Amino acid sequence: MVYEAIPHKIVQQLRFGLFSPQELRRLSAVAVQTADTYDEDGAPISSGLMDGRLGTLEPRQRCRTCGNTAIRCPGHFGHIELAVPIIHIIFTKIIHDLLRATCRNCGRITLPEEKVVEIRERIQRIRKLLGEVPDKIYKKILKDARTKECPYCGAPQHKTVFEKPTRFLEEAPEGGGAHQLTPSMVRERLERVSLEDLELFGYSAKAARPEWMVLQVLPVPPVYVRPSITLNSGIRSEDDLTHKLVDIIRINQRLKENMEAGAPTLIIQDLSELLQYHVTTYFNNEASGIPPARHRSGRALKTLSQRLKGKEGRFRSNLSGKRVDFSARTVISPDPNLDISEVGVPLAIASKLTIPVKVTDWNIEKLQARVRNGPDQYPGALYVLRPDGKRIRLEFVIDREKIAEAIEPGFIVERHLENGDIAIFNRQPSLHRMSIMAHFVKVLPYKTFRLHLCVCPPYNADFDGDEMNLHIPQSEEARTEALLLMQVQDQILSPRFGGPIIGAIRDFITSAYLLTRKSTLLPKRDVCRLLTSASYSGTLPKPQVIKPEPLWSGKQIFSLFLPTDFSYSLKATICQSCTKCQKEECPHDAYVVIKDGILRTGVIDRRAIGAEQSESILHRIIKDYGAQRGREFLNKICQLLKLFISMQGFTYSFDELELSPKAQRSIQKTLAKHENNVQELIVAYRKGTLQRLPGQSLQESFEIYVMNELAKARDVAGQIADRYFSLENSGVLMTRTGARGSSLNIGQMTASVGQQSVRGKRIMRGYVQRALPHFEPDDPLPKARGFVYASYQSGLDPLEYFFHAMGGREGLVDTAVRTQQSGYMQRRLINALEHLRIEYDGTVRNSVGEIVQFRYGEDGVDPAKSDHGKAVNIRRLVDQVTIMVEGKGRPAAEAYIMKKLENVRRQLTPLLIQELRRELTRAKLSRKGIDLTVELTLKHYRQALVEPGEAVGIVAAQSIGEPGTQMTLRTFHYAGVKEQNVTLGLPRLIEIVDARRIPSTPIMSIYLDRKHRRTQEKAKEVAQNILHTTTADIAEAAYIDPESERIIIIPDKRLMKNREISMETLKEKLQLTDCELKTSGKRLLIELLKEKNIKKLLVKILKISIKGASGVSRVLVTAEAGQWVIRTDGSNLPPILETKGIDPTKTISNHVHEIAKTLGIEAARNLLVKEAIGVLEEQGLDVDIRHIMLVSDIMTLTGEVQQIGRHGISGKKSSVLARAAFEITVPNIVAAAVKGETDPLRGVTENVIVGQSIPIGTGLVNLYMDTLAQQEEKDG
Amino acid sequence: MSKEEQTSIVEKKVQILIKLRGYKRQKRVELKNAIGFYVKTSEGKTLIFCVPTEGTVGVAYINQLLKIIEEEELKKTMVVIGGRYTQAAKKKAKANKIELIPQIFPAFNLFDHKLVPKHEILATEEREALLEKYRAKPYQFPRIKLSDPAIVAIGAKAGDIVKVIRNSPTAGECFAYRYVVPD
Repeated sequence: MVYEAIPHKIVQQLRFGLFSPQELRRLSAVAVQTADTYDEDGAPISSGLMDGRLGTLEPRQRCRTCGNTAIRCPGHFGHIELAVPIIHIIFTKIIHDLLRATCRNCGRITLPEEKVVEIRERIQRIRKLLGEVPDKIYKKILKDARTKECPYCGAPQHKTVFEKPTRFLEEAPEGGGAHQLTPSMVRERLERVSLEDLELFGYSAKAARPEWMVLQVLPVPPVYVRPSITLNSGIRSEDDLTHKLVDIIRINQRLKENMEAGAPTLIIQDLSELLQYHVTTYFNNEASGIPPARHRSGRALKTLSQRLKGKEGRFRSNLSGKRVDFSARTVISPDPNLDISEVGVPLAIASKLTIPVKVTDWNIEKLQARVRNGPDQYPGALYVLRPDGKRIRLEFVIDREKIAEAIEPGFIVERHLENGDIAIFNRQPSLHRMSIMAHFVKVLPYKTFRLHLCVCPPYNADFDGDEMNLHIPQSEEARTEALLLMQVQDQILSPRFGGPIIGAIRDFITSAYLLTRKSTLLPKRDVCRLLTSASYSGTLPKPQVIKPEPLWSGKQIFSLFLPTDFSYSLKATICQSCTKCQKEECPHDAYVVIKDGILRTGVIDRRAIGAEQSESILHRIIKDYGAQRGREFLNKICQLLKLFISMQGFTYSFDELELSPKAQRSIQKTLAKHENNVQELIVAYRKGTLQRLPGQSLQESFEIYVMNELAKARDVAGQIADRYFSLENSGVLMTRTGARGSSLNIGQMTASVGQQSVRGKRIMRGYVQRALPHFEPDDPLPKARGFVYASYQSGLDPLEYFFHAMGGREGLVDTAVRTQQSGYMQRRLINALEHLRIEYDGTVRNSVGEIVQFRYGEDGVDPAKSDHGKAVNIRRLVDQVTIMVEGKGRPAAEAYIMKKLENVRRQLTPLLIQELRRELTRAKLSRKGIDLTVELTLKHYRQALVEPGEAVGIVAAQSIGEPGTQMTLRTFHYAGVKEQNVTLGLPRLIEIVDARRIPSTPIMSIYLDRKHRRTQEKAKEVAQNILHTTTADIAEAAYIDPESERIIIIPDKRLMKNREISMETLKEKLQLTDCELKTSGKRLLIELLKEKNIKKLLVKILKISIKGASGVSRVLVTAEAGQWVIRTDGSNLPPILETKGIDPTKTISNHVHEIAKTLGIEAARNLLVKEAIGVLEEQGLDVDIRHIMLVSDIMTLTGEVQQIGRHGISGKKSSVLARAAFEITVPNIVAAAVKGETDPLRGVTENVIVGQSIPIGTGLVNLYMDTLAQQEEKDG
Repeated sequence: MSKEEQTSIVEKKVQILIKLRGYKRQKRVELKNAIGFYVKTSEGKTLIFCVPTEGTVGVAYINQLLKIIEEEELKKTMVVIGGRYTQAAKKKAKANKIELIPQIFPAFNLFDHKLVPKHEILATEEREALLEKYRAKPYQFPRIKLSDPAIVAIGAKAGDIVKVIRNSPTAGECFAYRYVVPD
């Protein structure tokens, strides 16, 4: 119960436009005439730049215009009367367009009447069809309006030239030179442009008369916009804007005086230009063509434009992001004793942050005690608020007892933070919604925030000095929302993939393995200790071993924390993927079986309880028993496991890295063997007998072979080491259970570090032809190119160490680059999708009501509520039902299933119906069982549906952006065929959302028809016809014979045979107009019949396409799933689809724009989904397909593929403010003003900027009251 | 590519077009430099003017066609080609309401391609019901261009709404709609 300010006014829309000079004068409080600010006493000079009527900066002074003090006075504009009209720099482009498109005499549009009528009709038609008129239509009209003579008054038109920054020139006819159009002339011409004509250009005359773009009056912003600061030395320092205004006024006054005195035109002109310069830099100090105005110190002034734009500008820094009170920040440290949804808050912070509590009869005593304790003694209070609004600061109260006595219901006490209060905890970068979660406060000693280790993954936190932020929600509403929506337990399931993102990590997993492995047997004393630590209060199970003393197995203890009716099975992380799984009989105990809450076989490790593991025990518990139960489970086992590993002790020591001499010998032998292989390769390379890989040079092929060989060497060495170590080795234990590290790490530590690489190649840089001076030039030996034979345990020699540092440096650089790139991608995604939400009719729409998806994710299921992407896990459901109704009734007929399913067909998705049918037929359930299954499916499906208002756009953007940081940069991976390079990873993902015109590696996968896909020969035949061949590709030589002025081409027989081109086809292709083709011997002569540029002709001839599809630079025939497939470098789908021998229905390309053009926008959408999913899957990242579908849908919304970014979706947003806040701030606002746009304030950014609640999620809900009904009630 | 191959591809395109748009084929005539297909469409007798050259199609062809239109008083004509249109030809065709089928129009059933879902034009009643259901103006729907290959294939007009029957990985089968807009 807390005071909550009621918003009195809501901004419904914002209109943009220009001020007229009259309006500026009317709104002005002062005509500023003096270029000075303060006099000697420090009092503002009247009609100076700091005039009291502009508002006051002194806290106690009253404003001379409105009479308010500094806090309440909004500030008032003044104005400067300019002596001559001045062109406003920001509108120069628009002025120029208008001057060109209108008559210089009468101001009418330079298009004939009938054309204008036609255009009007077209605009009307388009408006009716599209609801709005796209910009490009107006742009075209502006471009088209250009004639020699005005169709209305007949005046001849001259060319208008714009000279940066602010000069307009008019070219006289017949080359009489150009003369300047003075600002007043420009203004006069603009005055003549009529309202109707302006509308044809898309400009609004009501909001912005064009002549207002030439300034007569300059507004002077209030002092709050440009406060002066007093330095410690007492010297006043003025704002950059004030400095600029001083310049303007000074020149303006001088100009005025000179004009009055009738000074020569030259002086007047010079002064006018100077004034123009100052006004220009006042608006934009970065305009091209003028030197920026500088401060005395040489620093460029930060004027109006610079104040708005960029990351540090007003829009992004102050309007879209706001500073808050009631927050704290400090270093974090781990505390396994906490609950996962708790946060440890240092006492110092808890006694500075407050929560307002309204005094009631029930809490008055408690609050009085808080007040008595005051600010310094915890738990106390900092402020008391009286009902009359007066705030008492307890710090300054001498007798707090008196205040405490005076408190009565209705007062508000701002008390210290206490245990159990709700707080919002956050770590930057906030890449997904789990980066901000609500925790319960636990006040603790010392100076750091404490958090449970299981919540490290969602925050991506570690304890190497990370800091985090804490916020205390102040209103009852905010606290309720935090409690209901943001609690840690409700965030365990990530909306990214519909699985738990919170779970056990590191030592918890090690401990779980140690506890649940077969050999663990514990005496009663230990069992009791463990169970008490996990606050277990049930009875002990029967011990597994009774004699000589009762011993309990770890599995038994773990089972006590599982729900009693829980059944489940999976393969643990330690599973060796044996060729034949022995299931329950697994020799590694990797087959986990839980029946009725008892862990029968298998060990618990990462797969079962780890973070980011779908379909784990934790996931199943949350899905079947709810988040609360899941949290309890996680908390309890963490306590248990923590104590268990403390009791056992666990360490990884140096001597565990040592291999037996036998193993060492074996490793040395393998390394030697592979080195020998390399030696052989070297010999073959030098001899030239090395097999060249297609599309690679001999040297490249050699490098690839060597790299493969050495990678194998390292792997084998690692495997040997791995084989030697058993699970008794702590390191291996950690990697096998998934607690930490990989077997690669073990291999590098114990066997051999392996090849160091820079840019995906062996180390080639350094000295000329060698990496270091210790080697011979061109030494291709592994050692000389950065292969590290040593292991980390044995230690690297100096050369190896140096190479290792080179590789290591690249890793660091990569990380730095990657975070930047993925950060920008995320920003663009968020900006493009933030305003999407689920409407009450289940559609996904943007802020202006345009439909993006008719049903979210095509099935309406929320990934966060789904079961790893599926609406209902039917197989599991059927299994559960089977157990429930076991042995009751005989199996129902299939017809019954069909009938039952037919009834619910309309309520479920076709996929679910299909799956139900399959599973039900398989399970042979009784009628009752079938009824129950269908009923439960329906129930689960409805529960999994998205709720109206859900911010699906933001969730999708986060779900794609967040894993971006984990992606590798620069993976030129071998796709299927090892010879082919494909851009993958982050660069490819960026390329996809960028909707690049040409992908960096365009590739086609061409499938063949029945005749050609069987054999390689047939496939090669087709491939030969696809490969692009030009004259240059088959010519041995091509040159101009200077004597006879003929072009001579000597075809290479071998090449022609290679590409299967006959002489006849070549000749046919070389038949050109105005040329004659002759043969002499093996030479082809082309003789010109007409005078022509022979050099150009030669270039043209060399580019003539003889065979194949242009752009296809390489073809590869590969076997894939039992058939031959052609893959190409370069993409050109249309001709390929018409080629004989291919199967056009399967042939695809990775070039999105090309697909959109040849197969349509829907195909492009499907390709976008396919490509994006492909990239993410290749990187092993789990992202729900619904997020990707949403991105693809919005990218293809307009019928063409649009970019996620300023040239696409973000640039076409309906809100001016949202566009301005994203990128290109100033031009957006200017365009909006000229067009007289209104911002309907229906999106997210806009409302954040004006400080209102956003229309998404809980902010969407409004209270509507039927006032008419109320009236009737009263009347009736 | 040989001449016969070229002709067969272009003729294939015509056949695909006739099939996808559900026209009734009537007769095939050999014309100068071209082949004519007479079909019956909803708008009456229509001539599909088929130019199988690999080169450019200029105003000459359009003029030839215009003459036929005048002689036979055809309501609707279409041109299918193997090469490219010249700018002038495009302009003239547009002025005379001749539908030009672009060169990239595929010579196989577009909707058989694994990336392309089926598109259907919505009938007026369905359209009204849809707009009522979503309480939206047609321009608030996702859009598709008039020049989109799928739209050319089914012959939808600007202002139509097409139903897209998508094969969804999440739902099995699902429907989306797109509003046909001019380029």
